Amino acid sequence: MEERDVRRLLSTALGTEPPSPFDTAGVVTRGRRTRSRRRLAASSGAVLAVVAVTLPLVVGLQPSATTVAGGRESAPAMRSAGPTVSPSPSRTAVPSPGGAVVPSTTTTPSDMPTGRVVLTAGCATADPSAAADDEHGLPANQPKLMDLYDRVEPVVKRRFPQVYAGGRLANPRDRIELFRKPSGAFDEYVLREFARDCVAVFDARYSAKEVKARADQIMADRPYWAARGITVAQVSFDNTGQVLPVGVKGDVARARAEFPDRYRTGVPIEVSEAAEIKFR
Amino acid sequence: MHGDDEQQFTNWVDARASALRRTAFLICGDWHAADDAAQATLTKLYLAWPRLTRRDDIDGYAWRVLTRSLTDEWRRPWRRREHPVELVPDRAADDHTGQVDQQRLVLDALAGLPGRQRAALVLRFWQDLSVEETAAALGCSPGAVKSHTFRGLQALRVRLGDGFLIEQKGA
Repeated sequence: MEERDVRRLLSTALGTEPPSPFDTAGVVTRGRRTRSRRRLAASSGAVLAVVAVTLPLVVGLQPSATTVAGGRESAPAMRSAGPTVSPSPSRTAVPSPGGAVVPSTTTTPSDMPTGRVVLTAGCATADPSAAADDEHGLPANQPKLMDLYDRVEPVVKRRFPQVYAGGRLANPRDRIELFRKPSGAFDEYVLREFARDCVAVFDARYSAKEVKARADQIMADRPYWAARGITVAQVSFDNTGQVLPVGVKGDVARARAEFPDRYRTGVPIEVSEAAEIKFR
Repeated sequence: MHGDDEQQFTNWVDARASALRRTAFLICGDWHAADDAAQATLTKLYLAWPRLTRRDDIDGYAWRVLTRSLTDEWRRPWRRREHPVELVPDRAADDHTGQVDQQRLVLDALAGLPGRQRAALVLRFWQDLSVEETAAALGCSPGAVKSHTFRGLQALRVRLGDGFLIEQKGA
């Protein structure tokens, strides 16, 4: 079979081409929208990380700055994003009104989750030095990790909705990190399908579905809390599947006391005073 | 992206989007999936454009992203998925029956090839990429590309038979 024969075969396989759905302006618009969304996700995560790091310093490292409701006390280190290594997966809450899983791009060397971790074979060649800034001040491995995240996240989210909690880019470790409720099938799938990439899988307490259900419940209860002088101003999303961060205004002390009573079981709620969000 | 960059990008899309789409179809065998893959590729290309123009590696990046976005699909039996349609396709004979049958035969023969062999054949012979460029797009060595190409051609010959080619040449 000669080269031109193959070309003729492929031409036959192409057959009659349906009209193209692309228009150049639409492609540019979609590109702009995607870029804005990614920048927003990155900047929101960065702001929250800065707040998480500086807030304990400002308030004199008082662990009572936040309260965990729901009958399950989380480990103190989980609420701290300070420079020490947490004994349990640390997390970055990314505001997401729709409850969608948004990758955080703000992991730092000190943000290393601990506990049981499942690593794909590709992690043997992960290169932390690839996180050095490029000429734009972004980690050089950002495009590679975003590409990997785009390949992995939609698939695991679709295949394992009952256990998948969220994911994020971990530039300093040159990998992406996924959080799921313990699941052998999930681990087996990731190890098999993404063996050539570096993907780390950590335990989560709740799936994204469960966290979303809790968030929906809080949103539905807003009139109830408003009648008690508490304004639910922010419902964030924890992509490590540990808690649901809720920001309130008004009688914050009362909120901290009453939220645990109302939401005794299921995903715990981390109540904090809602910070004012300023847009530039 | 600056105005000049955006203009360059739109010029590139105008010139190359159809080629991306056709190549994606030949690799995956489904126009809807091909449109999705081409669309995803163009969006990623837009995001990476300033970096790529400095490196003068636009086409190479586009083929890499396109083939990778089809990677998941390669793990499924190709064209074995059901595509719901509103109406049952009318297969009554018309002037193009022979052409459609031939297309079906070739598509089925391609469908029987492993994904990498299919992609290697399409990139090498449809897009005229060199062995090295194909290797970069597939993320493998030039030797592997040669092997995929050789095996893919052999398999096509077995599946279609020489008679098909003679018939095509005569058509």
